[in-house]
Amino acid sequence: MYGARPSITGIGLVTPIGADRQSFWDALVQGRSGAREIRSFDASDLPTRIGCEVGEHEVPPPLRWALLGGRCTELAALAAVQAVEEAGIDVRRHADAAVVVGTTMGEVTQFEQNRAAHPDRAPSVDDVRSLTRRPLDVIGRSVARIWDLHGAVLSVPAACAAGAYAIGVAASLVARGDAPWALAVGCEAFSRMAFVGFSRMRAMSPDRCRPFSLGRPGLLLGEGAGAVVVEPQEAARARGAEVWGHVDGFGLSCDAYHVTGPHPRGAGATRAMRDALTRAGVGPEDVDYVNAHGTGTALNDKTESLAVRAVFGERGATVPVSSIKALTGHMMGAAGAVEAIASLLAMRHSTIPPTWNWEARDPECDIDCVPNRPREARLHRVLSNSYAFGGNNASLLLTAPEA
Amino acid sequence: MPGPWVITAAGLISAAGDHPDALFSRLLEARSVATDSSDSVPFAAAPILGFDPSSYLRRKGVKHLSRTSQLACAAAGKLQDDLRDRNDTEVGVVLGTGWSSLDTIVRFEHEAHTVGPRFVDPSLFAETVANVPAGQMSIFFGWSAHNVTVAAGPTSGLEALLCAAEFLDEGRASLIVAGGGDELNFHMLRTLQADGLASRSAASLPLAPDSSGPIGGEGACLFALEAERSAASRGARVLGTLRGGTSRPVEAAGEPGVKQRADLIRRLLDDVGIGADEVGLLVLSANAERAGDLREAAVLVDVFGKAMPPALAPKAVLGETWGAAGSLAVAAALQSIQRRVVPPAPPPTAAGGRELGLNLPTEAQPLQVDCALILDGAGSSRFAAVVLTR
Repeated sequence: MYGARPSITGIGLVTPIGADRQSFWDALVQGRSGAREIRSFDASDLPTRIGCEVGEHEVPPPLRWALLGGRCTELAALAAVQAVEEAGIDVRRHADAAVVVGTTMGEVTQFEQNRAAHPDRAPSVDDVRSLTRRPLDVIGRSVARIWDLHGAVLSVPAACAAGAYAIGVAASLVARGDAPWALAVGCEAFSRMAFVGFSRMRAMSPDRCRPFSLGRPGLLLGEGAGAVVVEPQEAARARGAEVWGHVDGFGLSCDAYHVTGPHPRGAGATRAMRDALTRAGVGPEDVDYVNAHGTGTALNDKTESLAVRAVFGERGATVPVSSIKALTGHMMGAAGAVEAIASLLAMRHSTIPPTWNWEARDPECDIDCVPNRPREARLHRVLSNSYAFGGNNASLLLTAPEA
Repeated sequence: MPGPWVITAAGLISAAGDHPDALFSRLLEARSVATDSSDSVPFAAAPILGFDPSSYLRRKGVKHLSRTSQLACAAAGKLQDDLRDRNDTEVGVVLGTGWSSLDTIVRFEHEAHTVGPRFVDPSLFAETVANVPAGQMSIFFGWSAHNVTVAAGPTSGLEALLCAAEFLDEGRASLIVAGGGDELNFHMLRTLQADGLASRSAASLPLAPDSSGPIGGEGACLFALEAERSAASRGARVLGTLRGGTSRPVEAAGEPGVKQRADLIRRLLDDVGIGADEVGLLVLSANAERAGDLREAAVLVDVFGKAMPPALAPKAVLGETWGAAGSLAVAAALQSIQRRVVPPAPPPTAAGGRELGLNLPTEAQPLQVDCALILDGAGSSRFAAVVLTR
């Protein structure tokens, strides 16, 4: 990064394991999983009937008025409100903020619900209308409407890396001085299409998600939203705001290899991590913990392990690396944002959330994946990784407030 | 976005042809490509007739890609010769799209019901995801510095250029392939027509008093964007310079957004150090959505008054191509600047524009000043503009 240092002064989340940061953190360190039988759609004809859903959520009427989208927008808005309220920014005085939203499927829930009423009929105008009236940028515009924000509104649909892209782009806007502050949101609502698609790709676990574990069967899908407020460190300091951490590096790369599969040697993942480190002006020896993408699929975890080994060299086998997806499931567009928040919480609590459900060492994942037990550690810098379809790779280098 | 950033190559697939020269020739004819129906779309629309991705992309599996992926990759392929001396690992991709692969979403969901979730084609699922067209571009051509998709409705194409400029400024790539693309498809067009958001008549023209809405179009248009210094060091031909831009949502409740948009233009011109009297060409976003057309005219009258520069309305020829529109407008502007010619508008568009205070020539006229202001999003709740110079 250059220019102003982007600091995170507000965090908000809605996840399958908690809709506030304390319950979310408690679940991470106690190993409470959000996995359960799917309720939001009929999964009786699917090979996997387990997912990590967000429980009932209420959208208060004044908020509902601002929202132009459906369930995904609601989740995004609930997380965004938490983040902005916690940041304590005087929004009316600083309404020229930017909003950056990342998602994978966007607003497809209503379309699926319409279609479920007559699945054998060809899609009708009414069905498709639920997509044309809610294009990809509707979530960002909705979030901006909550506070009448009139800065840039960007949608970065980078699939399962979208949440990290959103935070990284928001941090860049703040660093360059293009926005006085920015709200970054990663969000995803449960979608039957995603279930069907990942099932057909044989990427889904029938029961539990076991990242980095020998014989891991695949991922579980989840939903949720994570939001952060990013502002210049000096501005945060001037108004006495509490700082959760700094976004010191936003690394990007593309595998340019396969649309759904990772590069076999993790070349793109390696490059994204190195890019984040370079931009932060630190070396791998300065990183205390890696919050992994760690989906629990055979290929992802293997190649991410290779990438960690490549980046960290001799420390590759000992630097702590964990995935929270065993509990949250893969929240797709929300994952990168929620996992960045988990990283900030880890620094705050000086505790590494473990990789739950780990059973046995996989020689192809030759890393320290912090299995099944939280680990106390002073954490000054954390790398948070996110990877996606299209070979999109992003790594965030997050630094503790005092560092 | 410090720079200057220059455009050193352009590749496009449009209903007016697959080369910037072909696009400009059609603009000079001032003749719409819209048809009342075609083999691919049984409605009034401006599809790319006979588009065969395999003639542009010599690789297996091309026909399984979504049409948006096909269009984007085909347009990207047009840049290949110009990028041959570049290190692929230093080339990034930023693609803007408004709808991405909406048709594939509809098809995949339907197929999941009709053939069952255990038999639906998994490759179809990948193509439902919005960032996959950009990802396919990187896979086809090996561009691996980064891969970003931006979605900003009809202003996505311009948004992508602005995002690319910021990424260059951050040193994320030495050259970025940036632009926009969107497909036309049956489901979307039928729904937009049912909602009155797309015209049922191929004769509907921007700014014409009797216009009946935009005509759905499609396309993809991409540019090689790099630092002026980088282009000079490799002896690349510079097509134009991206001086600056702005992109904002403009949906303040209860007001048409004229003042807001006019202020954004003034601030943009101020930021790039160009006076209103130095703008030699306006490229309009007018698309025959009457309220939007009127609003755009009012904004430009507010900014330029009686000293209205000549304007070009590419959507009078191409229809509304959504994510591709902004970048196709940039391609038209580059041609206009290079050839020093402002193409004429169809007579109803020119006459309608004149009544609203705009200056759309009825015959090709010389371009006096090598600076273009390109607008998009007039009929939407977003607004974007960029400034290009020779």
